[in-house]
Amino acid sequence: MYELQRAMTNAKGETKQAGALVDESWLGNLKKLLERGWVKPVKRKPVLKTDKPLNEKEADNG
Amino acid sequence: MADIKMRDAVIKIDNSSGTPVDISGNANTLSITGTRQNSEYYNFASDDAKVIEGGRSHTVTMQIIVSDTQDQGYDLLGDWWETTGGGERTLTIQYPDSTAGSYQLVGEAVLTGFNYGDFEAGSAEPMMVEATMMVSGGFTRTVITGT
Repeated sequence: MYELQRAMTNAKGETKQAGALVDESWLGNLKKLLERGWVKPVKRKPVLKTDKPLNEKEADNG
Repeated sequence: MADIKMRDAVIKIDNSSGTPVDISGNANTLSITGTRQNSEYYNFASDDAKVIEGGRSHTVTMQIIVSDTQDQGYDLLGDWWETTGGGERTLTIQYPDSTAGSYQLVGEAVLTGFNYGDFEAGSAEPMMVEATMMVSGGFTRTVITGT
């Protein structure tokens, strides 16, 4: 996942504004964009896993 | 980032069907002038002027090398000039070039001036014409992601 540092237009003519999060497939040629500082990699937040579904937890509490 | 070289720019203008045509092979110079309306005023309490900002406008001047090839720069601009009502066409300028990481300016241009040619019997220089445009709705500047 990458954050656009300014408005960008991809090969299909789609424009996204600065701050938008996109994946590599939207960007196309990533190497040059990273070199020039136009995009910044964003680490995905880890997904918190619960042992049990919420409804089961509620049942335990009750 | 490397400094930008002027000569690798790519210039595209829509043809009458709305398809962008790369006229970089015919365009020799392109100059954009952006201005903003401002008004300056004073009050009695201060020596210094205050300024209110107004709207922006952009004009584009382009020199074209004349060729007799259909749908190239001269033919395309001539057709646009001769079209009744002219109309807006998309002007795209990519710089330093059209590859990933380059800037792209896109605006809807109206052709406000076109001279068919200057002629000089003793000249060895290529024939050039000048086209002037006004941009309706301003330019949008983005970065090209490439393919």
